[in-house]
Amino acid sequence: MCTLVRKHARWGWVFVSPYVLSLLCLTLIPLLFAIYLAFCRYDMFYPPIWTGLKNFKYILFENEDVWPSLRTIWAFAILQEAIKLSLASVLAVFLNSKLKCISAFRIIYFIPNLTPVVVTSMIFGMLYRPDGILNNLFSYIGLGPFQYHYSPNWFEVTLSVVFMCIWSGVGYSSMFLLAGLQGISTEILEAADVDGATGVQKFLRVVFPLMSPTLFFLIITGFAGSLQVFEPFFLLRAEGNSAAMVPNQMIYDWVWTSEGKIGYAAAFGFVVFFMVLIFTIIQKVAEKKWVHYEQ
Amino acid sequence: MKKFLCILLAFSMVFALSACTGGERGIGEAELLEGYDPNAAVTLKIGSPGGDTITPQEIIDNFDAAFPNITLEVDVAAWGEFQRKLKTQLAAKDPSHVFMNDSGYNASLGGKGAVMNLKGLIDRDINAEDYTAALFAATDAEGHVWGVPHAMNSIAILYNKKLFDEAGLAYPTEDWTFEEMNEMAKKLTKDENGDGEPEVYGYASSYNITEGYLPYVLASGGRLLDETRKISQFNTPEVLKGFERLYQPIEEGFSPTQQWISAQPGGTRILPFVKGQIAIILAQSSNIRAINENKADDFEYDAAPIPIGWDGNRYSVYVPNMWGIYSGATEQEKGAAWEFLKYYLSEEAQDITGKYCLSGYPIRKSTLSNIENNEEAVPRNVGAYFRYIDEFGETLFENPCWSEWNGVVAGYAAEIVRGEKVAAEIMPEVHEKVQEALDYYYNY
Repeated sequence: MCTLVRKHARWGWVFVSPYVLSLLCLTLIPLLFAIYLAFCRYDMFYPPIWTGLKNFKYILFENEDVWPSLRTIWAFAILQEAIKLSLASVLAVFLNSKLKCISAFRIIYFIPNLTPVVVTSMIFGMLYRPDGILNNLFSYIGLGPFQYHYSPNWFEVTLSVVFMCIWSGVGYSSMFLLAGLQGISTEILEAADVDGATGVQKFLRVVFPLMSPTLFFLIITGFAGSLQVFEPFFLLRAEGNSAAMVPNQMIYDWVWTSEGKIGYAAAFGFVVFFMVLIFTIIQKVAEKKWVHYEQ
Repeated sequence: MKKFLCILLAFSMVFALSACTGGERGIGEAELLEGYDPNAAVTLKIGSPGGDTITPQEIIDNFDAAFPNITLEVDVAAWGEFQRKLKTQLAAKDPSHVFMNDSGYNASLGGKGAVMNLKGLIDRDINAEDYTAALFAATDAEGHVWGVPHAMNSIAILYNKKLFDEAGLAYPTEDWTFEEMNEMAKKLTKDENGDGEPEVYGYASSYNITEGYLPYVLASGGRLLDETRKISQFNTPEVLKGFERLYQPIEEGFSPTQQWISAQPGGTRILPFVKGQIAIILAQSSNIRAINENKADDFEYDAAPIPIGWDGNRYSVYVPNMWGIYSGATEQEKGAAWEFLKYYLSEEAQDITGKYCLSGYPIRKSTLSNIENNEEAVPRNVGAYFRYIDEFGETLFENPCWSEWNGVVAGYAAEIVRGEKVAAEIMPEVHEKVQEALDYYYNY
């Protein structure tokens, strides 16, 4: 019996070994190595030198750019998620209507999400030029000129990136919300009608609670992604302008454009990881308060 | 099974750690590669950032034909990507045997012993008198020579002849000064419709090190670092004066703002210069190709040497991007790499470099003389770019942590030139940050 179990177990290991090996080599070992490097000075050339908590001390208390970068991603995440989800909700209601050619509209709104971020950044880089189309349009109504990502003001740069990401991501969120809307049973809505609920009451008491699992999913994944944002800020950064750096840009710079401060990069990576983890746990705890699952 | 997994994990960790270690910290002795057999077959990997847009393919092909025993593998990557690629290749101990790099990063690799000290080989095989002083531009404070120049990307003043004629101004002379240049630029600035935004600016300031703050700091008698290149000099009055003088043209309205320049096609000063919106620019030689390709047939411009500074001296700044040889290569690979560099410095290859001038001028005097005497050269006074290198040449104060401290200064310089910060107020902070970057490398 024992031999048979052992024999089966051996074959089991053989079958799962491709996955186990890739998990070990491509995920677990790099992760453990990154944890080790967070406590070292390492430049990719000399062997790592153990420095204890020195990197974390530098990140949390000595580097003047770390806290502004965290402020930037929080502002980015909150603004982006709030505006994007509001717009996506309105869009989902519109796309749920029985208009002619509604499928075409659904495709049109989803297309920006399929556009590579490099292309999107180039388009917005042109729109945001000091003599670009946006400033020209604003000048007709007496506004501007705005400096967008050229601005020395971190908030103006962040807003520029927020609008670019909303353009790109609103279609994606609206598709989830549309699916959520279409998943609401017509019987429940009819029951609300029979009970004499108004449109607002129906939305607040029936539609919103039933949509809350979808919204919760979008918020939790949206914040986790936004707090780790890199490409839009990196690609849209105006040369020489460091007004709005985000953590991943600093990590990138420490690894590639400076003398290989891998220790700082790893330490900051874990600081951001724990920040996202804690925020996700808080969201998960708050889930019980406002997310309703249909029984 | 748990025990087995633990052992496997521990083994993997040790393996991962050992794979990521490099050589011991130490500075290479000058090697003479006496064990190199010139007739033995060897494969030589050449790292070529920018490929044939930076290094003429003709040079690679000619070398390939002249050395049949050396099999070439050319590793090409975009300029910006190459450094990142090289960094990982060095960590894996598998870089190209000879590679080109910017002078700052080459100094960094020299400080880590990643590239060979070529002093002995140059002294043995190269007649230094045939070359400008740039041949030894990669020499550090201890006398090691970490590479040989790919080209000299030097600076000079370019001016629009038609705008000078219209303003009735004489063209710049060899011994003109920065003060005279500013006076000319003021006279060349034209705001004919009186809207406060000139149609023609006399000059255009830049904030980068080579075309921006370094020439002004030097012309004000300042130095960025001390002789050991371990101590910041950004707290000296001369450096402060340099930054203030860099901003002066913008402050006084005879240079456009950076915002104006960013809004122009291409986002640089080159196209506005070609279109006659800027009369004078301080430009690196690598810009000449773009100017000549974009200029109209009737656009006439010429070059003048960098003016004499406020301290009475002239400084001719140049960027000597370097060829370095990987110190971890075998003796045979290093020997083949040195053969390549000897060929690169030969008259034939230097003439090819001079023919294309892709990223600057060659360093061989005879080639430079031919370029200067070429009646068809555009700009005609092309010698202004290299005539003073021997006497007044100055590189970018490269040291092993150059990219680190230069990155710090670049951010502040941009803020000063954009008018967001006042030089006098932030220079103590610049000094502190630069010294911090130097200390991180030297005293950590």
